[in-house]
Amino acid sequence: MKHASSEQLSAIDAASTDRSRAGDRTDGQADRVVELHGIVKDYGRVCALRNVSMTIGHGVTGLLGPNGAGKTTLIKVLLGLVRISAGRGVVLGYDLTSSAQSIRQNVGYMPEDDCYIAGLTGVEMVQFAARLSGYPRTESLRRAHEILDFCGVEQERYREVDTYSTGMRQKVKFAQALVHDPPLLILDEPTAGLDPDERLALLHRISTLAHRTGKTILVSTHILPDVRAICDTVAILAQGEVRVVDSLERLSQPASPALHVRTSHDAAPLIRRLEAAGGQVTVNDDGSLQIMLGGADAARQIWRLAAETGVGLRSLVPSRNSLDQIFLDAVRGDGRADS
Amino acid sequence: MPIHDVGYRPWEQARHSSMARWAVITAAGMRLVWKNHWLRRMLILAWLPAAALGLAVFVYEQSFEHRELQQEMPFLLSLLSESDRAIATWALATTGSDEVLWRVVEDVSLMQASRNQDREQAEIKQTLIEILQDQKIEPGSQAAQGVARHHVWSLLLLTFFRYPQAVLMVLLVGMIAPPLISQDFRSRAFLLYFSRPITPLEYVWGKAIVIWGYLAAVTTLPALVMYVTGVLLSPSISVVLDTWDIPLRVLAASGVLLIPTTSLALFFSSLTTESRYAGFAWFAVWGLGWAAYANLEALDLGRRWSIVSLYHVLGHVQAWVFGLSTDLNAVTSSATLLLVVTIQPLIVLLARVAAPIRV
Repeated sequence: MKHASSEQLSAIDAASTDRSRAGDRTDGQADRVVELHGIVKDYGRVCALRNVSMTIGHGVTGLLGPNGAGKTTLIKVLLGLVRISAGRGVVLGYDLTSSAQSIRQNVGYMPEDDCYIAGLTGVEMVQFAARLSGYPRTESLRRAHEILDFCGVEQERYREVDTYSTGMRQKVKFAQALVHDPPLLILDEPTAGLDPDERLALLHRISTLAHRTGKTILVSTHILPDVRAICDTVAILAQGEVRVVDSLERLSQPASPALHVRTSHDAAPLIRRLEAAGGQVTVNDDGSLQIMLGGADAARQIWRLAAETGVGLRSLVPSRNSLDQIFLDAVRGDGRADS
Repeated sequence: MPIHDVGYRPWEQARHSSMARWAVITAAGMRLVWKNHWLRRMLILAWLPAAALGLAVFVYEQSFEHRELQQEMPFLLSLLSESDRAIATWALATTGSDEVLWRVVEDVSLMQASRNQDREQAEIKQTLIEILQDQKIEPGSQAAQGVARHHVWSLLLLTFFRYPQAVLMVLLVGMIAPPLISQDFRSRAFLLYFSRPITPLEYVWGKAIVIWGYLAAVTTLPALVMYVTGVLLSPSISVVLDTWDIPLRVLAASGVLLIPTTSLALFFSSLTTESRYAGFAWFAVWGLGWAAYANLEALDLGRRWSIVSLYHVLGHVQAWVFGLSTDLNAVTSSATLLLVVTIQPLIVLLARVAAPIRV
């Protein structure tokens, strides 16, 4: 089995970070593609969404949450498939409750579930999706072929979808969501079932769609490295509530500045000297150190103390909150709801 | 900006009216169904009864001019449903003298008695006499010929709808309908449909038209083609005036056949993800109903309990549509039952289709 190289993931990650920084500069002016205010959805006694308020702007937004957090319900609310119990919302300028048809006309949705129309070939299924969106037969066929080219589906497009592997079906599902050129794409677990190469290719496509063709993309996923690789913004849901909505860049910054250090030898002497110098040192599970040391020249001090104690430093970088930690904090209720 | 700008042509953004979206579902459904080889063979087979019917119309029309054919008419007409009425009206139209008329009646009565031992010869004769009295038309006149022609054509078409095409309808719908919705549930295709601007009603409508399309191809279309052929081959132009309402009756009889059966078949399909169960339920409804009716008829309770058989219920209403049923009680109870069979499954069907997307 092939594994995605860390360099490849880093390349997508770095590109995303650059864009995120660029995005930060225009945060204030970013168009609001989705605006939700106090959305409540209950199924009898079960409350699936509690007072959900959030804004989604251009770029890629990752929708995270444990199982049963209300992600799928939120997606159905955005598509106008379920009637909300309370609250109001606007998607692409259309009211959630009164313009569900117009919303679905302009939104591309890739479901998480394995879904296909039995008996149709790949190209027929994508063409069918375009025709359901209202395009004429010939235009739909042209678009279907072009989108399948974009999605990397080659001659397999002439085979019946029933015979496809999971990965191929994912590609066709992705293609059918794109074929009507929607300004907003909702992707539910888009990389599930893909091999590492295909996963990277799909992440690259999502990134391209968001940053070259200006699509707004909402990605619901459990795979945190995918979120880190492509998302500009993260929204975390837990127990039907929005716990966090913020840019990934801001969330990654620790509450107080710290440095992350990896050593090549036993770090105990260095830890003792750092604590003696008034620093706070936390040893991570992987043996690396999280160091908070006052002053502008904290890095210089660490280098000096390491030299004095004979401990070799393999890396010294500004510390960033890991997405795993952000996620766990949010789910436990330590997160900050922001917008 | 288009997702995949190939450079040599722009993406055209013009979309159809949302009114036509059900037609997309129908077209895809019809194409998928058409892939079934057995279905295509059945469609060809379905036109054979229509050809036989066309031949019967031709012979009947020619009998007005050719005396040698007149001798064969009682036998030919006795093959029809409610043949006593057919023969009586034919006799009215062609026979000027009472003597000949009653001889025909006598022949028919004997023929009927030999074909069906359970029915009394006297009873058949009484029926024929009543029919003749009801007509109040002079035998052998032009008016009698018009009435008879309308009657015989209607009977021919009713026979076509009730016997070969009804059996074919059960087989055809049993092949087409079960996977239409159940397979979408199984492959979760409804997520693809309903994430588009499609409502559950449009979805059901689109699927229903698939069944209607194929059913119309084996019932309505052959019947109408047969009618047009009969008119064109008739030696008399008066046939148009005598039978102008028959195409409308064909359409109405098709509606009676298509609407309840489609509603019921789609209802079964929506109840399961396994199309074979839906198919089994479909055939069971017709088979068990027919068997129950046959047993009740053996106990001489058939007429009272004909509502147990959907096949006979359809027959009552179609006979009324063609103007051939005088049993208003049976027609009313049958029509009510068909209404229930249409509406109730439709309500459940819509709820079933909408259910997966609302959870």
